[in-house]
Amino acid sequence: MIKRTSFILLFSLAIVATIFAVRFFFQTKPMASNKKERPVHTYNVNKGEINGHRVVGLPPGRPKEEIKNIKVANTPSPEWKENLEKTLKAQGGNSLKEVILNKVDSFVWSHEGVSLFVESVIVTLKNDKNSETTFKVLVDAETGKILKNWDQPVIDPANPRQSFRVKLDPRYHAD
Amino acid sequence: MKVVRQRMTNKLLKNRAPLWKLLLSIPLLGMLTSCNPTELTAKNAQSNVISNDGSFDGKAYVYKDSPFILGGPNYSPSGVSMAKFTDRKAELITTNTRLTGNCEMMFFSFNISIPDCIHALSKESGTTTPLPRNADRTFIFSPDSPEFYQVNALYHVSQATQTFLKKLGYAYEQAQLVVPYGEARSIPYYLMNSKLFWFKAMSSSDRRLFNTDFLTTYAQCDLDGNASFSAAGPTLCFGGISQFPGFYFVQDPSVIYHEFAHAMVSILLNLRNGTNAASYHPLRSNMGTYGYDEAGSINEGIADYFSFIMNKRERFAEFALGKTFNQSRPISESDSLHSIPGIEETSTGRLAYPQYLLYDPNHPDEAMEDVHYAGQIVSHYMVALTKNLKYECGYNSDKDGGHDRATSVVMLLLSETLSELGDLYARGVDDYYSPLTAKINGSDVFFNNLNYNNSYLWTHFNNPITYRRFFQTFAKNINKYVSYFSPVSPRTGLCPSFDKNKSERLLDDYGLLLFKTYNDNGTSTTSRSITYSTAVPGMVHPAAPTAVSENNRRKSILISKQLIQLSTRTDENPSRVGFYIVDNSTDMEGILQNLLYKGFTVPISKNVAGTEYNNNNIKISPGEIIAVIPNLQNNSNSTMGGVQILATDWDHVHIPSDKLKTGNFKPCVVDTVTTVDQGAEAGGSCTSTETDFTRLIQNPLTEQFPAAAVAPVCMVLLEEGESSKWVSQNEYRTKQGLSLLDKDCLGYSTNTTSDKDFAFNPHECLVRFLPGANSAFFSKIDSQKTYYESVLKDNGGSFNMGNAMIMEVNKWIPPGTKFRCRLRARFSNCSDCYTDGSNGNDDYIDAEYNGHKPFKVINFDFDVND
Repeated sequence: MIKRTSFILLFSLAIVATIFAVRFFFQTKPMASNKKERPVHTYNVNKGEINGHRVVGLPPGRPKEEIKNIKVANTPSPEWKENLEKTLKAQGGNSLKEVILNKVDSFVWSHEGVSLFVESVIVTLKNDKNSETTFKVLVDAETGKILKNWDQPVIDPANPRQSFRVKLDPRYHAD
Repeated sequence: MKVVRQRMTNKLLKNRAPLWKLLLSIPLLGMLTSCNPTELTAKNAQSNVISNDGSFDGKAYVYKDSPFILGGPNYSPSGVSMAKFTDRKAELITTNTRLTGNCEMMFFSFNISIPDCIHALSKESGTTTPLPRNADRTFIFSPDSPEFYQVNALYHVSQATQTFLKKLGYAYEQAQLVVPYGEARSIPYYLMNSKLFWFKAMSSSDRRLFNTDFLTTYAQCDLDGNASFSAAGPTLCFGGISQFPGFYFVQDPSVIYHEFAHAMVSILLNLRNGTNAASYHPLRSNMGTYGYDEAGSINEGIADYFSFIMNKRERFAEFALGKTFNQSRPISESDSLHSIPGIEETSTGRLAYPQYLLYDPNHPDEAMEDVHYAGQIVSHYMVALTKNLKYECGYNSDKDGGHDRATSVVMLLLSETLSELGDLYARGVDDYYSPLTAKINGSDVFFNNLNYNNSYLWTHFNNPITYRRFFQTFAKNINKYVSYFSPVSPRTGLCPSFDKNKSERLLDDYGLLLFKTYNDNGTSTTSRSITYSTAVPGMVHPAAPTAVSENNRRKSILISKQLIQLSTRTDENPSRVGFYIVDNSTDMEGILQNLLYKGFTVPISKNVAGTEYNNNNIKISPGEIIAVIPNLQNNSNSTMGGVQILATDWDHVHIPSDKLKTGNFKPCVVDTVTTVDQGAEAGGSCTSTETDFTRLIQNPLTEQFPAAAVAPVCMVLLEEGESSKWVSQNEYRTKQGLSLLDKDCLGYSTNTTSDKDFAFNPHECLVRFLPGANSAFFSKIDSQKTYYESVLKDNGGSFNMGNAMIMEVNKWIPPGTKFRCRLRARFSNCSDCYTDGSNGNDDYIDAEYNGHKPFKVINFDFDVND
């Protein structure tokens, strides 16, 4: 009797353990709490660099030792370029003929409480009329998400009256 | 060695040269033709082949001015032939063997040179190698050929560069001369080392900032109907106009000078943004956005003024703009293009702000909001100042009438002003020896543009360069460099007879005395008790800001911010609209494409919003991307100028200490609209304004949100049983049966499902104004009118991109959901947007632009419905 009870107890425990093990290995966590192992960073205090990238965003004069306390949140991925191009094409639509991305710098940007590996990129776009425009963006080196955008062109038309304007919907002032 | 010389065949006749010139030229022509074989080149240019004994090395024949000036006002822009207008004397183009120019600037007696700082090419799609000089060592090419225009472009850009660097050298010297007196100056002493006086900054590291380390001029680029300057190149681009074959902007040197001046402004704004290759700021300052704004208008005004510096004429682009579209611009009130009676160079006749912001002198009855028209107020003021300096300072007895000296002083003022305003290091000025290291008790101290990390946001959005901010700083520099006189100080200004009163009266003539003090007491950006002198012992500045003499304020009318509001429908005005919405997909796609072409990216969310959801019902519906044009109303009896509305994050929420895992907040009570009964908080962190700009995003390491932060502008109404309260979008998305994951939110962007977006803000999950298009600018609103009634109505109801903000709406929002977006409005001639009367009318410190005090809060309430 005791043997049978022990067997049932052990068997039940084994089943419970199996269920927990299966749950542990195959559970799907919600997006918000997903974590990914981040590579260990190497710090070069003298050069003020992390993984060979200099740190930008620490106010000038801040001790270089502070760099050791920085934990960079993202991991650079070559996909940033493709994603950036997709973002630009999504905005440019059919009028966008060509996208040229010229990476000019990579660094760690310590900004608004978060440090990220970023790429500084000069974007050149050609539209369907063969006109070019050039400007700069700072993007997340992992996702390609645009964080800042500057150095836009100053365009001077011969006739400012022909500049791009959009008409308000006539339903607003139908009377 | 032979030199092929072109000259005009009919110039003397067509220019109606005096008889004596004709007579003199006959024997000269005879000599030339008898000595040298003559060949006819294309397009009626006559060429003489003469020996180059070395005196023609690097030279070419160029046109010194436009066909309008050289050929007369009737010269047509169709079928232009510049052969008629080339000068008879060959000019040195460059000493280099290719079509590149060199830059040099004097720092007192030190000469710093940058070889090959300018390149001339034909077009973007052509070769990137500048032309070599000819076998005869000249740059003489057939007139109207692509090579000819490249040579001429380089000649005029070189002339402009030399003028600019000469005047910047003068400005540098004058700025350093105030240092022994303990006074702050903005042009940095380390400019010599940083080489930020040109685009070739930071020696070998310059490629981090620009595509190339020289300024490229495309003489005939593929840009129809436009000329442009691109800072990212850096490039100047001179296109043509398809309806005028043979016409190119490059044929009008005043346009070359104007575009070059945009490059100059870009340089001056960034003079302070690096000391060496290791220290440059990753961003650069710019002036102007994608549509109308005052920074862009000032940039255009300065560019027109630079044309005046170069050619001394009080009209810009007579040929390129005047003969093509009747759009030439005057630069002074005495120019005959002004046809309105009363515009004249008198106190009452000046082109005053904000009255003339929409003024097109060629079509004075057709008001139009555009930076080029608004910029005329700036160019006219600067020419008037130049004339005042010539007269008041006695420069007019110089050989050139004082033009060089007076314009050098104006350039000093411009250089000091722009380098301070554009400083991303957020100091604005230097101490004597260590420019960037001011600390108090070990903490960094900043004196403009908030701080190092947020300076770009401040100088472009939160406290941008407007007519008020620009002319307040400019006038401060007049006091310091020009008017300064003290019986107890050994230092005197450059021209004390142009004193503070005269300066204020001239500014007021233009309606530009928009400030109460000069904001010259050196307060830090986060505390009034910290000043230049506490950061740098011995630095001199007034204890209280120098006040404007109110007796001098006659035309510059200041208005309270309480008199601006969102337009409301009334019985008297039943057609008034608060916000205009554009939600048809064609217009929205056009707007987005236009923004991108102007260099403004807006990060459109993936999968949860898009123009394909736009339904053109002029209401806000799930999934749409829309343009929002606020229609503000001026309830005062004067015209408001420079109205700005911001949808950027600001400090208007309280984050309870038990909500740091979510960042869910309670809105602060900032007006009578959102009350405690509706879930708002009056105490806690709402009683003060944050001194830093920290976004409400999760720290990936602690997985906590900040205890104090700026928040997105839009809140959502949560209805639970009988109660309704305004809450964060992050709180709402987990309630009301939504359970939206991060990936279903606006603005979430990752590569894979396992990666996180560390810049993602869950508090704008449902609706958000897109970064890059989250502020709008309006030139002016007339007394007792709305913006529509003041400006748009006369334009046939067309708005420019500067008037619009772009908003995304999440497709998962349940219909009927109510939102409130707390926008902030202010204007340039506002009496209480920059000072609240306490602290001796001292301006708000930069940190206060994080909050609501300098603004009128404008509540944008709407429902999302299908």
